[in-house]
Amino acid sequence: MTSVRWSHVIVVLTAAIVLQTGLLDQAWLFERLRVDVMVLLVVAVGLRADARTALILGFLLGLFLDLFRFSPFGFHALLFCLGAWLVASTRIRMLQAGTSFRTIQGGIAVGLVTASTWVGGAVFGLGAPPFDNRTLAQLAIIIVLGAVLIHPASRVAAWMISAPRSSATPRPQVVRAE
Amino acid sequence: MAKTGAPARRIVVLLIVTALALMTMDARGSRAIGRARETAASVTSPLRDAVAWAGSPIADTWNGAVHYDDVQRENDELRRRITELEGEISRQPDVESDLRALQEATDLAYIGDIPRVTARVVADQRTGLERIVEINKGSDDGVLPGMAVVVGDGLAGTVIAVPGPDLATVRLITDPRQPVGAISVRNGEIVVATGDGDGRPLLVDRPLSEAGELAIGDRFETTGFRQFPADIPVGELAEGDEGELVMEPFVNFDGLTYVTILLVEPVE
Repeated sequence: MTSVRWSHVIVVLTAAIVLQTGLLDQAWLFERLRVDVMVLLVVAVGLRADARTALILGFLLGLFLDLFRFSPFGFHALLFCLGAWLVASTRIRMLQAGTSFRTIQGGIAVGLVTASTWVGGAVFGLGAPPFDNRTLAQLAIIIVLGAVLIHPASRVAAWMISAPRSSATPRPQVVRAE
Repeated sequence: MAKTGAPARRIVVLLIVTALALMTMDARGSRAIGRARETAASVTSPLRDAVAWAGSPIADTWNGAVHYDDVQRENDELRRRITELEGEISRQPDVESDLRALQEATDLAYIGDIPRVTARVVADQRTGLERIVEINKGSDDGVLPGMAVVVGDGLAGTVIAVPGPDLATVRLITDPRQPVGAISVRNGEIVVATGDGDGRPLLVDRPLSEAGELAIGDRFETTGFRQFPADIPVGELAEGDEGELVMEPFVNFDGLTYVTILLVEPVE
C-alpha cells in the first residue's frame, strides 16, 4: 500500500502548473510538441505507486490541469487516471529489470498518454484530427523525451508518495543459520 | 486514501463516471466550474507571470534556435513596426502622444463610436488542442466574457473568461468552438464561419439557404446578430484543399501583440 504526502502533492501540483503554463508552454517544437510536466508526473506516479493510489492521484493531477486548460472539465482527469492506473497495473505485472527497463517503460507510457490526449482532443472536437505524416516522428521524439525525463519526474513522485510496501518483486527471505 | 480497501476496478468506474459527469456539467455551462477556473487562474497568475518573465530568455533562445525562420520573419515584421513607430515618435512630443499614435495605428475605423479598450497580449498558449491568448485588461476595464476582440484587420476572437482585474482570456476565431455569423458585403448572403484549428482557414456553412450565390473573393463582415457588433471584417472566401469554399480570416494571428476589446455586452 502506498501512502500519499498531501502537502507535498499540493506543492508539486502548484509548481508543475506554474512551470508548465509560465514557461514550457512557450517553448514548443513542431507545432504541438512540448515538455508536458503533468504527463510526466502521471507516468511517474504510475511507476511509483500502487494501482489505487496511482488512479486517484492521476485523477487529481488531471482535474488540476483541467482548471487551466480550456478543454472540457474532467477531460484530462479521465485520461490521466486511466493512464496512471494502466502504468501502475503494468508495472506490477511485469518484471522490472532495473533502470533501463523503467526508462523504456516510462518513455513508452509518456508517448501513449500524450497520444491519448491527442485522440481524445480529436474525439471531443477540440482540434483537427492529430494523425498526419509527422505524427510518428513526433511520437518518437515524445517517447525519447519521456525516457530522458522520467527519472527526475520519478524522484518528484517519490517525494509525493512513499514507496509501496507490497512490491512485485518479492522480498528476500531471511534464513537463520542453524 | 489508498487504505479504504475498495477494489481498484470499483474506483476506476467511480472516477470515470465522475469525470464524465464533470464534462457534462461543463458542456452545460456550469457556473461552479467557471468560477473554479477563474479562481485558479487568478490565484496562480502572479506566479505564472513571474515564471514567464524569468523564463522568457530561455524560451526565446529555444524558439530562436528551433524556429529560426519564424523568428526571422517576426524580426522583419518588428523592424518594420519599429521604423513606423520611430517615424510616429519623431512627430509626437511626449509619451502620451506616442501611446495615442500607437492606438491610432491599429486603424479601427470600422467600429465607429463603440466604446473600446486596447490591451496587450501577455501570454499565447498554443497547444495541439487549442490556442488561447491572455490580455492585460480585465474586470477593472469593464471587460466581460462574450465581448468581441478585434484588431486593425478585423475580428480576432471573443473574451471567454475574466479571471482578474487586469487579466482576460480570449478564444480566437480559428478555434473550432467559436462560430461566427457573417454576411457578404457583395450580396448580403449569410454564412456561419467556424474555426478549423490554428493556421487553417475557417469552414463555411450556410444554415439559411443553399440557393444563394457565393463566389471566391467575397468579403464577409459580422452580421450584428447576437454576439458580435455589425460590420466587423471577418474574412474572404477562398478555395479549400478539396475544392470546398473556406474563409481566410483577415487577421494574421501569428503576430498578435495588441488587441482591442469592444465594450458591448453580448446578447444572450
